[in-house]
Amino acid sequence: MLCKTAAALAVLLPIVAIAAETAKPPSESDFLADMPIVLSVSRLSQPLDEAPGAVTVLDRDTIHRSGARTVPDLLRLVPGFQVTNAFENSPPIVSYHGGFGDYSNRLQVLIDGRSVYSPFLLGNAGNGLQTVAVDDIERIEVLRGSNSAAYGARAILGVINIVTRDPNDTRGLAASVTRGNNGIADWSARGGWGNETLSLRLSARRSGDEGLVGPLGHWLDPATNTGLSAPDGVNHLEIANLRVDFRASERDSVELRAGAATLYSGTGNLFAVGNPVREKRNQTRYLQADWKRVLGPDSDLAVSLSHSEEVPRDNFNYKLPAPFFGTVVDFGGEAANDVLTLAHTLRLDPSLRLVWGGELRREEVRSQQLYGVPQLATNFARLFGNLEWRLSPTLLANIGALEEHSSLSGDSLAPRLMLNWHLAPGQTLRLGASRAQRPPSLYEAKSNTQYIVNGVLLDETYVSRNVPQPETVLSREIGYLGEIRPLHLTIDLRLFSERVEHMIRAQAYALPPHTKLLGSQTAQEYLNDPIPTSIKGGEFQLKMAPWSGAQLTYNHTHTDIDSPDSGTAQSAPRDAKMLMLTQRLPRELDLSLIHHLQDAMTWQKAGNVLSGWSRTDLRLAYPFALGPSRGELAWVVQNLGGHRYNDYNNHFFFPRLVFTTVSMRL
Amino acid sequence: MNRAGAAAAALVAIATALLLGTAPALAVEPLIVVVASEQGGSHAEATEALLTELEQGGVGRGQVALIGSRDAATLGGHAPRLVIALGSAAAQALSDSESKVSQLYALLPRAAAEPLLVKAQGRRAASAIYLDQAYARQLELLRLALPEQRNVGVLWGPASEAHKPALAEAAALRGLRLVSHFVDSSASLYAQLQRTLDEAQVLLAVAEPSIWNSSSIQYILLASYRARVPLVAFSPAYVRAGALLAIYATPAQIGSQAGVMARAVLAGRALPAPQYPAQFTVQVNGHVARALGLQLDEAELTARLLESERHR
Repeated sequence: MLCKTAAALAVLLPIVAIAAETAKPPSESDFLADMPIVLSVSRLSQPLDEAPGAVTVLDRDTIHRSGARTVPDLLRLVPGFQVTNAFENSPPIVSYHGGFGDYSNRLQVLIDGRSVYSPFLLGNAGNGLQTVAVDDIERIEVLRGSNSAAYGARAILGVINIVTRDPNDTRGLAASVTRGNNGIADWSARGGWGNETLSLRLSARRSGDEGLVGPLGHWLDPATNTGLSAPDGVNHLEIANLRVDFRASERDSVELRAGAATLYSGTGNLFAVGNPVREKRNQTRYLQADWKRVLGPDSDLAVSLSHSEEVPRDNFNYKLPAPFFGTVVDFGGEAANDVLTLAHTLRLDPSLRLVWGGELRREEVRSQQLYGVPQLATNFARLFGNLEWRLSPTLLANIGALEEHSSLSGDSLAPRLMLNWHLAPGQTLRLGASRAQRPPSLYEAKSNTQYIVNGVLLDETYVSRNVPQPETVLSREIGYLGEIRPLHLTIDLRLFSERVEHMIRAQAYALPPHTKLLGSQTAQEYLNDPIPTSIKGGEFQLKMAPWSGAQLTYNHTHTDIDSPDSGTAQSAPRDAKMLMLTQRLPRELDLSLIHHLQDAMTWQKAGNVLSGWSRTDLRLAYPFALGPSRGELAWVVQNLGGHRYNDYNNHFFFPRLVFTTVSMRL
Repeated sequence: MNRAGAAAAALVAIATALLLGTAPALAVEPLIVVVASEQGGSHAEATEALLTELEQGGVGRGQVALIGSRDAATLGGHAPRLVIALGSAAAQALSDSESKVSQLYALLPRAAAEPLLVKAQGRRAASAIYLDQAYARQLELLRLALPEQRNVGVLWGPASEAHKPALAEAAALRGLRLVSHFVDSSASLYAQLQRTLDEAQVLLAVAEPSIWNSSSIQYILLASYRARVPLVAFSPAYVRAGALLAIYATPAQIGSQAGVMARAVLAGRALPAPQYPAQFTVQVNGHVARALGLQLDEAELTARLLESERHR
């Protein structure tokens, strides 16, 4: 009997094995067995009409069809944003409700949850915005309005949340090449691989162009001594990013990221003694590890650890005669950032969802030239929580707060209350207020920039005598989100009132006579404005599909700034409008048109008035197949009309750019 | 007795039967023998519902013998009027037996039951109650829940592909377009899922172990959520995992339907033809629905589906 069974098994087993591989029939266990929780409580995003504020989402389709080569250029599509394309001082910067300074330091920028806000100098997210390739982005969520209650001090005016594509969505090989006028030369390459438990992507990109032009094109302007491009004629950027997603168990997932970016850009004035034409370099690199554990159907834990470094290089010779000839000024330095974050998301009951957690962060900057000491470090510790409380089926309250302790500036608390009232299906009214604080950055608190050679003080530019107190924003808003499904129409309206108190601003003070050898006997320090600045206005966004194959977006932002400083008062255009139309055409052709129209504004200081401008961008793309691979040929014209307009500085102009991109995916 | 208690009682009954090796000494020859693949859980739940249904038809628990798959070949030494298998393994074992007694296979998918029904032809009367819901019902629910979604994505594998024409026909009847792609290996799952998510507005899961299993579900659900393509599935476990909704029969619903069929046989009628579950349960993941901007209500969907079936 045993022999018979064994013989039968011996014959049957190989057949069973093959059958299992080819067509294992379902059994009741397919219907009755348990499954791991995948879309756990923290993976599910808050719908827009339940978010505690206005959110603009730029999805992959919009990003791709915009024709934008950089992230800042994409942010022009967001109501209330001001964007530059200049590389001369900092990489292109973005601001919300006003270009208040040389740097993006009142917006938090996160890439996959990691802050790319640099602690160097005044604090700046400009470099961070350059560290991700547009092709790697899944979506950009812009939280318009103060969000310090969830994201800390640097989110005092808003948050730009960049989410990169899941490696599972970018398997295979892809490459693209762009060529155009004004020296535009970009290439990118990407490789991705994955299976059910592990997936990864490695991407690299090099991009370059000649930047903005001066009144005489790329020639130096003798009237202003303005140099507008790097010595070798181009600004260029090299980026490499690696992402590895690993499913460690049914409950645990681990994501590892690493990357580096180097930006070379030109700066300086031909005839300026202390600011000659030269090339700057900024390197950034990071490591990030995220671990997420599903604790249960209603509870998730996320731990994130990251280390970021930045190495700005900006050395030049002071153009001085002997005995100071050859004096090297070094504006460069190093900055490092280590962060450990823990977040626990839990559903307490069907009407209560809580996200709470903490963060420990250490920021270190090194620049003897800027700070007058070899190294400065700040330690931060924060606790945060947001309770999403469904008071009734139509009324939702978001109650949140973040408390942060900084070893430099003490404690700050940012609370927020937002009520979302669903008037009817698809109709939501939002009402709320928040208070945020931004303590001074290290440079605002402890600048000490002196050029001392052979014991002689040549110059001093910024020397802090006092640490300014944190600037605060009290933000109030009324929002409306409407959706008319049959017409595929959505409306997003936000009326805002932001009161900025103790705004931190550089102000000159007199030095004792003969303190320094060069220039007037003054220095600058950062002080609080005694009079508050008030920013009021409204943002309107309409999206609709007016006819087959078309998608239309219209933005209109009206901003009124009342400030004791005339530059600040004009730092946002009174009115800015944007229209974007995308249309699928016959033969799979794809057309996008973007038109911008905005009033005059100043950027950074009173005298720097940028005239009102309009700009039209056109993109025409043709997808094609080449054997098994698919490709796209895209032709983009930016500033189609060719009327050069002021960008960042009233001596800099944005020219007409024409470029062609060929991309292939295998 | 509550459900858990009932299940426990049935479990004890089955365990006793198995421990004794043969059927417990019964006063009378059992009218029905129940063969269960497993002792606990869903099988016990189905058994208990079956026994309750039989009791309501005047068949006491003493007239039903519960045995394990091991004793299927001999029917535990009994000569009942009907033998009911609960689960694929029990059905398979029963189908291998020489007995001429009519057989009813329940608590197993259609794909597992069909070969057994073919095998029974000319040997004995056999029928089945599938675990899968009829395509007509699944698609009708999909139409009611997501009226704007017209393109329904389905991934087929070697075990399920034969049912593609039937689903396509049911879809066409409701003005739905089927976006079908065939997955022949776990490597091709990635490419075919991407293609499906590009074209479809909703993903319908069709039982196919090579595609839908606990190791692939993470990848499928995350990809479909990113694409904002909701998943309509066939079991509550998928809803817990993150599917938008599922329509399924509970083991108790199947057990009770088996009881109804058994009562017909005992009443002298012929064994009814193989059938889909008469009853169903709709479950919605409210959190997923909200994240996708949808408002769905289980009770309302159930009522509307019942109503729609009444009018057909």
